[in-house]
Amino acid sequence: MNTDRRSALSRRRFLIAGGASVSLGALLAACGGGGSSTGIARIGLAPDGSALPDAPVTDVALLRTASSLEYNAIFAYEAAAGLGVLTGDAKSLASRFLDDHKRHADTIVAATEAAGGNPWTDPNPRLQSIYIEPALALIAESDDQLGDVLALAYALETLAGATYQSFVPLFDDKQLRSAAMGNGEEEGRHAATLGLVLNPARLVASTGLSIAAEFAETEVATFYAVPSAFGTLSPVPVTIGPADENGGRTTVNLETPSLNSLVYEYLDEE
Amino acid sequence: MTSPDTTTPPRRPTADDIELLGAAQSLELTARDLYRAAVSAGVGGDHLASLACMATHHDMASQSISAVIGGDAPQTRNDDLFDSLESGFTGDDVALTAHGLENSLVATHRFLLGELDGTEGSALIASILITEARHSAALASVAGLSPVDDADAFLTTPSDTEVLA
Repeated sequence: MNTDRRSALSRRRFLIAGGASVSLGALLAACGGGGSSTGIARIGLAPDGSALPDAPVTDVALLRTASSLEYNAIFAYEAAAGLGVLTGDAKSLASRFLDDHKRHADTIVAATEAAGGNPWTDPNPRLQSIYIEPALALIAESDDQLGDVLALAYALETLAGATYQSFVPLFDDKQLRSAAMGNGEEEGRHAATLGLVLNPARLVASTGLSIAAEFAETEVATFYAVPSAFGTLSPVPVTIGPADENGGRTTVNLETPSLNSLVYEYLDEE
Repeated sequence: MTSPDTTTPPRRPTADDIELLGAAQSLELTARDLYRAAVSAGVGGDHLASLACMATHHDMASQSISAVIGGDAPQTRNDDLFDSLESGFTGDDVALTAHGLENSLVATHRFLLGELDGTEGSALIASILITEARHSAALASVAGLSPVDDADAFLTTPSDTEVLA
């Protein structure tokens, strides 16, 4: 009984509400003019949607991203130099690496122009905000700034080499693949040189290799001149910064640029 | 700026790619055998284990190339190259000899990247190239060179390095 009454009330309320809606719709349609329109009447005004930008992964976009990473590295080495913790051989090596990154940037800028693009001559904005600036902030508070600077440099150089490697199958122009790996191999050499400075006792990691037991390591180290049989595209972890109350430190995972970190050509118009 | 008209590269190796990748596999097998000869000779001092790992790296590279080109992989080393370098790999100059070979492999792989059409093959060669560049830097250290005073030996492939393929 009660159920039937609720149903009846519900139907009546629906009809009242529906009638009101139809009446308002008819009024708005009439006010809209254009009686000849055969389209469905609309209620209210909807803003025109803005189309997403056209963002193809072109050779030029890859080159601009490559140069942006070189400027990330230049920024990081200049910031590290500003800390004043690098001395002696470490300072000399960092200075050489900085010069190399400037040279690499110049070659990529020239390649971008040759490919008909507008060169990018600033750090990659996204990588700067999610990796470089947070890492430098951690190092500024660290109790071991020299160790952290070297660890960050090792990770950044590994990442730079991996980035060039990851771009190889994306380039349409075969000559750009070769040119990119000219820079990529030198980033790998930077990382290797830092690795052998940080871990001179063991230059090549044995992890995952099928080798005689006498050549296998009993403990895995953090740094190697040659960490793997192939250049990998895995995230590069770097542990830096001050220790927390439990002795733990922050690990930042550096990853090669994803689609939302490429320096597309449409960014010039923003 | 509008995107230039380009043709999407093929994924799989072309017939020309297969020939180039086959030559690359022979080079990797040659490097593997040279490092194995060095380990058997017991040269390399404190870094004998690193030489053993490098032998395995080259073996893994050859296997990966084989995986890309399948039955077309030659599965044989370059005997001429092996014979020309064997004495260097089994003597006191093993580190410098191996350093030179790694530089040649890096130069060769860069050359290949400018020739290969298929993206599978070029991606693999790039991943091998990075590791062999790192081998070169490590071997400069084994040879007793200084990363500061002899920086170029660690950080660059000389422009006149011989391309092997």
